[in-house]
Amino acid sequence: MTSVTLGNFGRARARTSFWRGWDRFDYVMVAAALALVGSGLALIHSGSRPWYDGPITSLASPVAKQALFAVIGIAVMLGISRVDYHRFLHFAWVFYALSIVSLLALFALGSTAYGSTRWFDLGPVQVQPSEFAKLAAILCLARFFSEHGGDARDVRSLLLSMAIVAPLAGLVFLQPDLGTSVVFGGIWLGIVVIAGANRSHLLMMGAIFLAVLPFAWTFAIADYQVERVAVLVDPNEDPLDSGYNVLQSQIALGSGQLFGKGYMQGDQTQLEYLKVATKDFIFSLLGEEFGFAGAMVIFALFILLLMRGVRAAQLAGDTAGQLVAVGITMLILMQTFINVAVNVSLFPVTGIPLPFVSQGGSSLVSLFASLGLLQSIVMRHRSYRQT
Amino acid sequence: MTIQKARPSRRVWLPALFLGLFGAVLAARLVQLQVLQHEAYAAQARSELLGSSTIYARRGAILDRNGGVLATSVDTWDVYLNTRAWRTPETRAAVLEKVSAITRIPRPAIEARLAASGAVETRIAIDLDFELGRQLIEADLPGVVLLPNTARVHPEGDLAAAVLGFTGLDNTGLAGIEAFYNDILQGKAGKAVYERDTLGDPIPYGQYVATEPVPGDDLVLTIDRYLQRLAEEMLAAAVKEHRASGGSIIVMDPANGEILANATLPSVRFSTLEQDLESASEEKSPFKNIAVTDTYEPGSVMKVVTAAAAIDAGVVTPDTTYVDNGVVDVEGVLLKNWDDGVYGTQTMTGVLQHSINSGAVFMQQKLGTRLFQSYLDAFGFGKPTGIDLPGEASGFFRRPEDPGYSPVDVATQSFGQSISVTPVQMMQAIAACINGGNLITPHVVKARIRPDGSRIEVQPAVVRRVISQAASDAVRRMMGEVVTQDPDGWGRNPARYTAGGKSGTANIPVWGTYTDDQQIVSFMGFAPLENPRILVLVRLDQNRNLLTGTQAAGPIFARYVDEALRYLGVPPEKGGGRAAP
Repeated sequence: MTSVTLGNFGRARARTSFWRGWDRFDYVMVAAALALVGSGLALIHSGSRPWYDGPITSLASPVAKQALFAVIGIAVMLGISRVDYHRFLHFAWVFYALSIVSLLALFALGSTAYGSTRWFDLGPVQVQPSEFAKLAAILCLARFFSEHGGDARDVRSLLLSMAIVAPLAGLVFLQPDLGTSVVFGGIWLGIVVIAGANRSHLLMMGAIFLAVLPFAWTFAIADYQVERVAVLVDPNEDPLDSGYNVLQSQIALGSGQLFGKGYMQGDQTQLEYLKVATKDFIFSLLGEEFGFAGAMVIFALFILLLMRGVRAAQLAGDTAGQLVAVGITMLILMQTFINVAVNVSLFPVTGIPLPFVSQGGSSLVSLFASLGLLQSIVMRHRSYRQT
Repeated sequence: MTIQKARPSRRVWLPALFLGLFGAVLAARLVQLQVLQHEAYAAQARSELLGSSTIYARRGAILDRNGGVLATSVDTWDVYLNTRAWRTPETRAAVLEKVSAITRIPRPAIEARLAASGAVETRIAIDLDFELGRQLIEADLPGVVLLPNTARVHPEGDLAAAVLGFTGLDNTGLAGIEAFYNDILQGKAGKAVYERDTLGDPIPYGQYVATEPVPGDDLVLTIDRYLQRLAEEMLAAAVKEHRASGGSIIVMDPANGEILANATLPSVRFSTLEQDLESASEEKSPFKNIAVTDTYEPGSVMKVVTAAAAIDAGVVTPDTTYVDNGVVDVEGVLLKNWDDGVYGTQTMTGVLQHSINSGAVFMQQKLGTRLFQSYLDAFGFGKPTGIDLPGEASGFFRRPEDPGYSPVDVATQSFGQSISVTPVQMMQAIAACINGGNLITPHVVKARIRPDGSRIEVQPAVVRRVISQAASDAVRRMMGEVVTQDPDGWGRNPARYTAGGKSGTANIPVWGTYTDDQQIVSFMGFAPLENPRILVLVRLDQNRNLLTGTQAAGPIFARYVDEALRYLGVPPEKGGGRAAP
């Protein structure tokens, strides 16, 4: 009797307990992310050798730091996946306001590195508000469209949604951080497309974008950005200055050939020809030491991760969940592509880290947070599915 | 918040499509970089990574015939500054101040060099003194790079500068022996290839491949330090005394063609090399060795050659007589004697003694044009002797088949006009006349000493026998008669040794004719008479006192022979004073 009661009690508790929904938890997605983090740790270890020779267990070690952030990130992910994503949607506008405020505060209080102001320096860690602003933008857009009949068919809601993203993208652009503002654009585009934007509207916007581009080039984009685009076309134009990173990453990747020079054997990296090899140019480091084959393995992991994101969007029980999932998938997708495109000299140099792989705490924690959101959507899709 | 049903939209797959498209582009780019173009990038990586520097080989020394050092190389440093190594203006200022203090190069001069050069590394000093370089290395300044180099030093000062020549900044010989034997002296430069970091410094334990430099061989010259200095001093004094524009004293061993001394004026001087280089013109360059590069008309010295040919061919003997009328008619052109004198009946010895032009023409006409000129060929005229000095001229004489030839040409060739020769060519011919009849290639290098100490001797090269031993003996004695006769007491007869010789005075051709107030006077003589040890050519150019070869050059010859043979340890054959025959 007691045992039956206990059994019933146990089963009854299970439905509302911590373990509810864990059977639907997407372990494949997390495994892919952890594999990326793991390869990131190995690459950071190799890439930091020229400037860090202390013990790997010290907190000063970039590898240990990154691992610590990964642990924090995983905790954040688990925490968020436990929470119904509608709770976050509920506070979407609060997150939005906080993002705007912190991005504005950056201009007064932020620390400047490599010519742009992107971080708050909080002693041992640096916090990059734009990382969280991206999530805020996704949540707001999802909330906005789910409240407007889940629809982006009319021009009004399309323009309104644009007005939501524009302040964030604009502030980030002023930091200046061209890459992240392009990511904002990508997120918006992805969500709008899923939310049912009219094909002709999309085409028209594309046309307008192309028409405005030359003016933006002349008036809005900073000189350094023009220069970076110019050296992209011909890095030898300025091989020691703005073309330097472009050339060095090409040389690193190219000399890596098919199978690479071997772990910790990449001369371009180990002799510091390649700058920021553990951050924005970690993909070049990968390409140099593990070659084309290594790059393909990382590609495969990203494809797996993003397919799981698409799967989350398909499974999502409601429009809001679907849009959040699409937004997050676009976020990771855009960052990956821009970063890799920079590394292979198809996009001007801009400070976008390779998701999960590059050294950087804010990025890692916010990426795990977004995975938490995806998990939350996957785990609850049945509760909100109306059949 | 309203819960809204998810749209069952295929558009969810759009991001995936996006992914596939972009992924394909990036993968294609990777294939291009890593598979298709990898060779180019791998090569770039190597070139970026690998630095190399030349390790100069030690340049061989140049020694005189007794081992005295005439030119050798000392270790120096080339100093480079790497501007990228200075992170702050303060470091830059401090480094430049220190470099300036040690190298003694004024700071503004260094700044100017840095400003003028766009490169990361700028050379600010070449051949910095070895000790100063050591100090600079010990100062251990950032961005200061020293590369070892060598510089040429000449312990004997300007001695034999025209023979030795000089080297350029890259240690390549540009003139004289330095140029002619550059390959042997230079050795083979080594090369160091090393992996470097972004500052260009070699990385410790990096790959280091070095080809060791192979040092050059030392050269032992036939030049004798003492005889050279004697020649240079006497020449300088004579040029001054006779107010000549220049001249040369060349001393050769007639038996083996070794040049014992080669003094020329004007001549390159190591002490003023840089100023001279700036002021040198094409016409009047002090950088050539006029003993081989410039031709002149030998004048009456040529009569010795004519006599040797005639005696060897058997058309005359030293005692053959003819009658001089003071003039000889060649195809309607009247050729006169040098002093317009008429000498009456003369032997061939007398022709040389009195330097009678008609006598030389007599001998040449006895030989005939063809035979006479074949002797000129045999004696080596009209082509380079093959001496081991750069820039040798070949000289020229006109032959019947040449355009503009006239029978007068061959007649005047017999007394040394209408023929151009180099001083060395003339010495080679006269040496053949007196050494038993062999034409021997003159040379200035006696031996090579390899880095391992082994010595390779240069053997005298006998080109051919030109005249018989008997003819040579006869000519030698005739030349002895010329010296001993000395009726005017000009002093061409050495005080303590028997000697032979012949003077020459040639007017310098000006616009196709001759001018009387510009001449080249010379005296070619040898001593001792029976076993010649030295053959000496004394030549003065454009002596403004207009003394003849016998008058001006003869006494210099006599004094030189007395000094040189005493130095060479030849026992005196005569007592002091000017002995009568």
